Amino acid sequence: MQFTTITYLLILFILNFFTIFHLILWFEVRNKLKRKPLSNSELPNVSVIVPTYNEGKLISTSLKKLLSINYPRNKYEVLVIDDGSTDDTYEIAKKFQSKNIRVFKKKNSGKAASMNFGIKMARYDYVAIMDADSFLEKNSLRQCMAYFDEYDVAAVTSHILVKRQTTIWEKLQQAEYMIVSVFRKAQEHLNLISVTPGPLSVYNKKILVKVGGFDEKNLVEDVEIDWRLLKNGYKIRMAFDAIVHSFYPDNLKWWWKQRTRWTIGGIQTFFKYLRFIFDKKAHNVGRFIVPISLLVYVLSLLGIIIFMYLTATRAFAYFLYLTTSLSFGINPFSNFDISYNVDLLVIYGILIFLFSLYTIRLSTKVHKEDPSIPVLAIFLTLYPILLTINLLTSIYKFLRNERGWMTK
Amino acid sequence: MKRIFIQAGILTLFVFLIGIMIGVWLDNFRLASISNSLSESDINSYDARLLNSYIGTFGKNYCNVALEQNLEYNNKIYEDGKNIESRLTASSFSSNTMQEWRRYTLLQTQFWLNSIELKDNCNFTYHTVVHLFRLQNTTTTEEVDNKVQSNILLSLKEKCGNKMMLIPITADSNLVTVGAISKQFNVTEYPAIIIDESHVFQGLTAKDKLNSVIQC
Repeated sequence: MQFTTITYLLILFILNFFTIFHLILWFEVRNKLKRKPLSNSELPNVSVIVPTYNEGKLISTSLKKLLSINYPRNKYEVLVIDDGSTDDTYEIAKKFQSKNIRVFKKKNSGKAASMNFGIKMARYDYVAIMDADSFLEKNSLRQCMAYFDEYDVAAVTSHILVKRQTTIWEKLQQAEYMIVSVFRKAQEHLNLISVTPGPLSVYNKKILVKVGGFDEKNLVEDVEIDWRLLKNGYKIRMAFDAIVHSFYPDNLKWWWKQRTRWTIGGIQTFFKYLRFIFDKKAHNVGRFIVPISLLVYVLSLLGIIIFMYLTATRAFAYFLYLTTSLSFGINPFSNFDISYNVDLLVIYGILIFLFSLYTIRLSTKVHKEDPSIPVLAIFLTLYPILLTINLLTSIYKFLRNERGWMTK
Repeated sequence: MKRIFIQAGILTLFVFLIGIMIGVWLDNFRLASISNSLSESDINSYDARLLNSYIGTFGKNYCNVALEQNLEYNNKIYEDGKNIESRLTASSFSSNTMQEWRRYTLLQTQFWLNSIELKDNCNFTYHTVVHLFRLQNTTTTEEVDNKVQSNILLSLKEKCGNKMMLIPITADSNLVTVGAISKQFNVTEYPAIIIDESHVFQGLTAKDKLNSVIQC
């Protein structure tokens, strides 16, 4: 067997291992997806921080929605932190200013800095951080608070879904989030959640301040803070019943920029924590998250390099065949053989594909929503290729030190 | 975490083993079908050899039958060759495919010798055209040259029909007879073409050059 075949088998084996690993975890938690919400008297006070930057079109709706959630009005405050918007975000938000809604404007210094500023200004022991383009369902915040039942729970993430699903990009993102939510809930069982996403995550303020707040230099501060909390031995939970609808890129250009930022930020975080690999004192970051990330990066790169090498050599051979045939006056398409022998890689690939379909089926069943067949087909075929190309360009940009925020 | 890791590991191994088992089963199935087909060709080869001896001993009454049988046999082993070749490109567990390929090379060599004998015994005027090529450890250029050479020869065969016996033989099949052929005709570069046991062309050879010898 060739080196390339063995490498691809190894990649498929590891991929399958993690799918099965998550499926086992899922079967352990699937009956514990919902928690009884806290009563009004049990609910703690929460400061909801909304960092904004040029969100003039959405901020009004977002705040109105926030004011109508099912949470006692005297138990939460809203802090809008405008990060030096160049549109009318601040002016619109200012109209909502009241005892419980405070609006701040600061010089543009990034989302993480806005959040840190918000934490400083927050009055209460819990801070919920949400994006200005996200919309909470009525009970989402209340559901999140039910998961702070142990002293060492540092953060609770929510269940994110895509608000507008008109273009293929939004539909693909929705399909991805449906699967991610199932995986993330499964990861909670072993305290392995590796991101507390921006649309809505609630933090224990004391712990957040103790670990130093958000890293203002990181492109994915929601990943970095998660890893830091886990490294310090804290727990991160996922409120599967706390649903948040958020806006996502509706075109390739925007999608690409967002993905590039996520990937570069992921690499940035990975290198920051690489020194803790196999360090037991770094808890699950050292034992699991960093080693797995390393494995994923190495195998992805190896897979891509082998794939590119094979494609290039075959393309070269075909080009040579075409030119040689033509120069010898022979029709290159005569005796063209399109027969294909199904080999071990294909068989194993089909088995893993069936596992992926089963995982998708599980998540669609939970969400009671089936993506259309064309969306599913693209999600399973072209989408991974696009993600791989994006990974490559992100690595290139990372190496060239191009690490801007890359907003739309 | 340890328990779930072990459970996931066992299940992954189980799925992997199922994949391997299906792969081995498919491999064996394909190998068996090639082997059966070559066994049939073996019988045909013996038959052709016997018929040649028969003609040599008892006279030329059966020359046309022998020629017809030889051509039919040639077509069949050519198809066998295509089957084995496509199977060689698939990731396989066994080295048996290479063995079948060697068996196929022997049959082709046998066919060449039969054709020469038949030509002498019956005074036929067809041309024997041997295409010698390497299969293993070849450069991309040599692989391409083999393919193009094969297409050139097939188009010649199409033109010449029964006036030309096309015999592809793998030079690196580790067979004493094939080694002897390369040595006898001083073949050092591949692909090589031997026409009527007298004209040797080494490297990729154009159709016109071959046509000047074959003339059909």
